[in-house]
Amino acid sequence: MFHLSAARRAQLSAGESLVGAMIGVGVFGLPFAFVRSGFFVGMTYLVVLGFVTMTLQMMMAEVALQTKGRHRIAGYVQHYFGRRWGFLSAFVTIAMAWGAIVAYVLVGSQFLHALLFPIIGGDVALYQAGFLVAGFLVALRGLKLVAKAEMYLVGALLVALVVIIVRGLFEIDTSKLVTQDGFDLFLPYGVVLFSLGGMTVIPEIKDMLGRYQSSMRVVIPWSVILVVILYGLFVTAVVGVTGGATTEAAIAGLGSVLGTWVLVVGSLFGFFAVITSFLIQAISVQDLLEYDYNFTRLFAWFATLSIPTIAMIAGARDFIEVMSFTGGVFGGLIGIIAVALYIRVRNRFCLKSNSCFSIPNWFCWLILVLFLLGAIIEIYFSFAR
Amino acid sequence: MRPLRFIFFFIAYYLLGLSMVYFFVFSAHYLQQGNVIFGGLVSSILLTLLFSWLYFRGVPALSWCQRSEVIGVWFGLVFLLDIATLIFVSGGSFSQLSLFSLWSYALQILTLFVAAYLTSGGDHPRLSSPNLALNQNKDAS
Repeated sequence: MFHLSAARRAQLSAGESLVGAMIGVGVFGLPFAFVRSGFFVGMTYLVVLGFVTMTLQMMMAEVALQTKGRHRIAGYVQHYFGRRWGFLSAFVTIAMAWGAIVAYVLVGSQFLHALLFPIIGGDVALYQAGFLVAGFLVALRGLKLVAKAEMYLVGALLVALVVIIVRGLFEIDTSKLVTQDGFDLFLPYGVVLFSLGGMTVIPEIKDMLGRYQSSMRVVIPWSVILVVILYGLFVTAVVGVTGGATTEAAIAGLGSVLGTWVLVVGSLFGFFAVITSFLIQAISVQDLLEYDYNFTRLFAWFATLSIPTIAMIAGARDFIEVMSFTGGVFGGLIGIIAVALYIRVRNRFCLKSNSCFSIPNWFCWLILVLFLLGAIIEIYFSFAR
Repeated sequence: MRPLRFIFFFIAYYLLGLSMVYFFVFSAHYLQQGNVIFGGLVSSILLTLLFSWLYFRGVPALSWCQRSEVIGVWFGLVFLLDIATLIFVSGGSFSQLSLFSLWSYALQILTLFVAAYLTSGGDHPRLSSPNLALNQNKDAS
């Protein structure tokens, strides 16, 4: 019935991957962060950081397009800045993954607790320990199946989100959108950056597009806009329904107002999305340590496991705080890396006009300063909160 | 590397070791004899030697660098699980680790290296005397 050209099919497939990589556990933390800062302050963060994320992904796409061969972000840094900087950026990428793993364990165990507590009971800490142990035992096997399953599970999560949005929009009480629980103006910064993360998938998008690589300049903006709109609608639906009673993982509070089925559907799809993202994140860190830095599989597995476990033993139990810190500090540093790479590539390869996606110098420096200040303030607030 | 073999022997060691240590701790309290606690340390070290030897025996091709990484992972897991048990099960804190604990950890690392040494192939001088008969046969052929 519909005839799609090969270029359009490649664009749709690449867009689906990018949207799938961006949508994840972060979406569940947004409503609570927005309630703490004020709904409209949070929305401003979402729009501004959405625009900045789009620009950064375009910069990264330009780096990927102008560089021959297949690399990860650390590989590009090593290529353009040398081995030491490559090592440093690999550490930043791994640290971001560690933070994400802690957040996945915390959110995943909350979903598991919501689903299984009425049947088997038990404390949330027990579910966290169970999630961590089971997750890492599976991650040791490095399942290829997980990578295939992720696409379908993210699709299922997307459907669940749309169902929740549609159901929630009928129950919205606009007066609840102006409620504010606390005055934590900076909290959404890291949470929004965390939830919009997906920079690492850009080199893969280039491979997926094949001979239509230049379509990245079309795919990226539309994908980011779609994700920002979806996030905006989800937050509006949740905050509009639960207001000041919004819970950290959003679904529990929503379930108590809209009915148990929302709790079950949201927790079930949320849990599957979290477990697959957890495994993919853990396996990708293991692969990086094993293949790029020549550690044994066992040691790479332990290095991936140990830091999140130590962080949780040391008291990282609040997933909003974990997301905020990880997104604000490490997400910001990855943003700085992308800007630095773009400036280097533009100065070397984009000498003719219209040969590259052009971003003014002052804007690049503005993003650099914004992320640097954001990381410093985030570190300060993480200890002050 | 055989990670599943590692996990199997490690879990078997840790569960048995933990139950032995708790048994000796309760016995020490029951008998009012503090020295009995050392039984837990000795049994833990013996179990470390047995299970790490069983693991290393099945992976003879590992280089010394890889063996060191395995020892690091084994000890790291023991330490993490001990701390988690101390904090979440016994309700203690990190500061409760005494000099006795540090000494037993050092002994454990040494035991792991002994197990790795005993099972390694010909890439280092062995404790046993060289098999001269075998060497002669090789020369003859």
